[in-house]
Formats: sequence, C-alpha cells, structure tokens
Amino acid sequence: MTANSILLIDDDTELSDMLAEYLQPEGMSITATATGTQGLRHAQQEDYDLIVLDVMLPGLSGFDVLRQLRESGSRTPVLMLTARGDDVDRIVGLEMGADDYLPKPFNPRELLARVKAILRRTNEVDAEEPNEVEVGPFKVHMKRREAWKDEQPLKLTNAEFAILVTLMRSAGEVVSREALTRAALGRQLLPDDRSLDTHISNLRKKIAADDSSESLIRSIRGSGYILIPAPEA
Amino acid sequence: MSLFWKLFASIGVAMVVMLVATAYISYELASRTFDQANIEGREPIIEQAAEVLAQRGERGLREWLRDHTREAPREMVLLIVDENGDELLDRAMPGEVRRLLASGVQRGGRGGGPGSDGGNRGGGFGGGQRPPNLRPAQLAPDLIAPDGEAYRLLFTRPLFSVFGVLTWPGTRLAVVTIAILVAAVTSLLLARYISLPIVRLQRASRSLAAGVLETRVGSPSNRRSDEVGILARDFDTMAERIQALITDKETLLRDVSHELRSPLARIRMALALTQRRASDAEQPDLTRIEKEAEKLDELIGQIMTLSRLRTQQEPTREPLLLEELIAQVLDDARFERPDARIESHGEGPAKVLGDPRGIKSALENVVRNALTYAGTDGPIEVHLERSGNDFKVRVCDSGPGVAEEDLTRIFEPLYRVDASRDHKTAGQGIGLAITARVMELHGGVVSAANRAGGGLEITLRLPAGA
Repeated sequence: MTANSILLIDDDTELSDMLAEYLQPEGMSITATATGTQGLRHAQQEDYDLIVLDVMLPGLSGFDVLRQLRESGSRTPVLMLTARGDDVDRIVGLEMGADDYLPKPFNPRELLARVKAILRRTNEVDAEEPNEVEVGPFKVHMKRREAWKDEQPLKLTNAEFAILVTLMRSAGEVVSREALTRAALGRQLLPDDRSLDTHISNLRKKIAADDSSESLIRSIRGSGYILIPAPEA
Repeated sequence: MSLFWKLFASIGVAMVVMLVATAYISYELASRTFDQANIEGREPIIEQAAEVLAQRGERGLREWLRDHTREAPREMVLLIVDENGDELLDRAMPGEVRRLLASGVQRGGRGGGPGSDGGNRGGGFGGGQRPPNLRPAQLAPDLIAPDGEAYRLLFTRPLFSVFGVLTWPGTRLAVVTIAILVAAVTSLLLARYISLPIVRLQRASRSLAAGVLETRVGSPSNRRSDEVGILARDFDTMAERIQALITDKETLLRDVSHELRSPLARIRMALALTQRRASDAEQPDLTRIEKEAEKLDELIGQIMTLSRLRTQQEPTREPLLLEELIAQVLDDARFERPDARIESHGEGPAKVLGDPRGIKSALENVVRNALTYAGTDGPIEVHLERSGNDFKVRVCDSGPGVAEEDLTRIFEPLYRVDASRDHKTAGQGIGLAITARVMELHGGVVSAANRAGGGLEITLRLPAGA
C-alpha cells in the first residue's frame, strides 16, 4: 500500500510532531510546516493527498492559504481546523472549498477518522465508472471532476461535487442525511453535525436557476434531501 | 408625577401668586394714595375752579384744569369728575376714587358757588355710603355749574405710571393673565433646566443597567458647573470604571480560554499516543483522562461562544422553522442519551427570524440541562406553542427543580445552584447563559419555573417572524 501524503500546516510545531507520530502507523507520511507561506509553497510544488490546515496561523491565515490554493486551481482536499465555538470560521471555510472541518482542540481519533474518510472518498471517486453522468439539466464528468448545469460549467468544491453526484444517482428519490454524509464526506453523521447542510446550502446557491424560485435540491424534513430532475411546470 | 411637572407646577403657582399679590398690593397702595389726599390748604384752588366754572362753564373748567395740571406741583393731582363719573381730562382714576363715585354723586349739592366751601365739606356724599378709609374732610365740595350740572373735585396723589396702569378698567384681568403667562414660561424653562439633566442621568443609568456598557451621560449635562453637572461627571466616571472592569473580566476569560486551547490540544494528542502504546490495564485511567479533557474542551468552547455572543449586537436573521430545529436537537439528544425518554408536543409551522445556529444551541442547552439534572427522573417534555405574537417552547422535566431564589440566577454564567453538586454537572455552567444571551439577541426571553408536580420548566419565547 502506498503511503498517503499529508501536508500539515499548523504553527504549533509540538502538536504537529505528535500528530505526525500518530498518523504514521496508519500509513500516512506527514510533511509539517509552521507558516501559511511555507505551507502554500509546499502545496503548490508537490501533489498531496490531503492538507490539514489550521485556520489560526500567524501571518498568512488559513483562509488566505485556502483561497490562494483554490485560486491556483488545486483541488487537493482540505481538512480545516477551526477555533472551537466559532461557526463563522466553519461556514467561511466550507464555502471557500474546504472538504470538512474539525474544531480544535480535537480528539486525535476523530481527526484520524476524518482524514481517512476524505482519503477514502477521493480514492473512490477516482475509480468511478462510467465517466459521464447526465440527469435533468446536470452533467458531470467523473474523472475530470467537472460539472455543468444547462451546459454552463459549475465551479464546485470536492464535497459539493460528491453531493451532487450522489443526489444525481438517486434523482427523484430522497437521500438521507446519513447516506449523503457518508457519500460526500466519507464518514458517519455525528450529532450536531452541520457540515452537510452547509455544503448543500453552498451547492444550492451555485446551481440556483435565475428564473425559478424553487430549488432543484429540496430538503425533506426529518429524512434528507432530494434532487428534482426537472422542475414541474 | 415626574420631577419636571412638580417643578413646573410649584414654581409656576408660586410665581403666579407672587405676581398677582404684588400687582394687587401695588394697586391697593396706589388706591390708598387717595386716602392721604387732603384738601386742607387747597381752598384757593377750589375757589378758583368754582369761579372758572361759574364764568366759563364746563369747557372753561376743562381748559383751566389742563393748565392747572400742567403747572401744579406734582405731589398732588386734582381730578374733576362730572355727574356721569367721567373725569374731565379722561385721566385714569384710582380704584378707590371710582368706588367712591360709584357710591353716588348727588345732584344739587349745597353751596355751588364761590365762597360756599366752608360749610359744605363732604356734603355731596350725604346719601352715599362712605368708604371706611375715607374721611369726609378730605373731600372738596361739589361745584355746581350755572346750568345745574354738578362737578366734584378730588385731590389724589399722582400715580406712578406702572401703578397708574393698574387702575385702568380691565387691567386686573390683564395683569393676572400676564402673570400666569410669565410664570408659565419662566417655570417651564426653569423646570426643564433642572429636570432635563436628571432625565438624561436616569436614561443613562437605565441603559447601563440593561448592559449597554458604553453608556455615558455626556455633554451638555456634564459641562454644567452645578451639582447636577458634578453628578453627571461622577456617573460617567463610574460607568467607565464598570465598563473597564467587566470588559477586563470578559477579555481575561476569553484570553485564558484561548490560551488553554493549545496545551489542551497537545494533551489530547499526547494522550492518544500514550493510549496506543499503553497496556490494557492502563486503558481505563487513560479513558478517564480523555473524558475529563473533553469536558474541559467543551467548557472552553462554551466560554468562547458566550463571549462572542456577548459582544455581538445583531444576529443574522434567516427565516427558520422552530419545529425543525427542535426535531434536530431532540434527534441529537436521543442519540446522546438513549436511556432518557424525550417527548415532543405541538406542531409547526412556527416561523421565526434568526440565526439558526444560535437558536439551535439555545434549545440544545435547555434540553441538555434537563437531561443532566432529570434525565432519569421521568420523561422530558418539549412543548411548542403559539402565544400571541410569540412562539413558546417549554422544556419540562420531572427532576428536583431549583430553589425559588435561584430561578433567575441559573441563567448567569457558571452559576452553581448547589455548592455540593457532583462533577457530572461540569460543563453545564455556561449553557443556560448562552441560551439567555441568544434569546436576548433575538428579542426573546427565557424564564424558569418550578412545576406544580415537581420538576423544572424552562420557557423560551421568540417573536414570530413574518
């Protein structure tokens, strides 16, 4: 099994050292950087499987790193470490294209689970067949991870892409929040888990048709979400 | 009654009374000058007048009187009144004189001609009622014109112009009206001058009490050099001090919490590494450490959330359905505590405007509180109800309840209801304070009451959104 390469950007070097030690036996090789500038350079030079990014960095903040990374076209999955109790960080991070978040201080087991989940999902998606799926106004290209709505390209994050694909596969059927979380985030739905809802709300904004007020992705109270392939007249 | 109205009324009434009294006394004094008038030593003038009347009639008398008035010494004024009560030169007459005349001018007084004055003093008033303060000796006899018309001569002290005005007919009403107007305006200004800074102080102290720590009385009140100005400055100093103290406390709490996060993250990391290497015998203790670290983590998170909520002024206002938030909270609660019985009553749609995270955590903390204290005592009931323009969420448990005096204090951060409480309650000291702050930010309220049958009932009220 080839080791997954993980880039860790956190100014707490002591913590980074321990984290590296903790993740190594799980088949992951860690590169630790202490500043945003350094981390960004690493991320742009090498191809990592995952970036663990602390929001609270001196100098170039975690958000800046994430923004510049996405602007440079990188699709490397990002797990964001946010300040506990700060919802704004979480929402902003997911909107900017982070795949998941974890409030810091975190339970290392939880971190490991999320890292594994993201890695599993990206590996799965890469192995998907067939290459192109089309439902209603939507079309996605699996390998290239590109999506279109009415022939217009959509700029989606990894998680949003995965959610859209999952909903398209079960178009017209309700997909539970649990199933969506598993499919899109590669992990279990936890109590008080709003990651999925934040991703869906961002996805809705991106695919919102200018003329129809009714969203193509509807939430079904208590059960989950459903993709309406063609809006009824 | 407010201070303003008290001041306005008392100063106003006092001023009206004083002005009217002053006017009345002046008027009386002016009137009584007549009393001091004396005809003694003025016989030549009376004779001269009688002569003029006899020779040149009323017209001559009027001309003579005009000349005489112009030339005569100022300390005594001669008035000549005809039978109709009109003064020949249309001059103002003291009230006393008018009263005297009103008592009746008798036609055909004795001795109308020159030289007849001697025995006829006061004769013209034989039939009339004599005012008590008027001595007959002070009155000149009537003069009778050749055509039989009677004229009366009256000596009076000259009236100062102001007092003279008072004797004009209708002046009394005018004086009282002016007095009231002047008193009203003056007392209004004075009452405002005194009460306005006090009203400002009152507003400021209310606002400070409501938690707006930036409140200051400010100018212009604090620029006054009087006692009120000093009070305003003292208030501002006090407010500044209170703000500094509270801000320091909050900053400290937040900074300490923030600083605790890094060591805590390292502790948990080190613990995870240790757990991996440790023997089975060591695992229970490590699990215990992990649980305690988690509690600490949770508490720190709550403190940070609360301090963020405290500095926040306006929540985001999204349209929300309360029943959905309640369902999510209860789902999580059932997941965390499968042993507890949780019942949900009431139906939506309960539309409100607010921050979904905030309102959800407000609900969550109340439910969690019920689970912590009464999770095993009986069912926990959550009721959603409409009440006027508000939605009410009642969370009822069957636990031990809370002492009456603590019912409001449980919403204070880190308030311990019972000093002897065991550690299982750790992390609950902030939750209800978060709830209270979220409610406050959304224009709602939270309250607690003991249920009649035992147990605690916490009610959240939120204004219904459009």
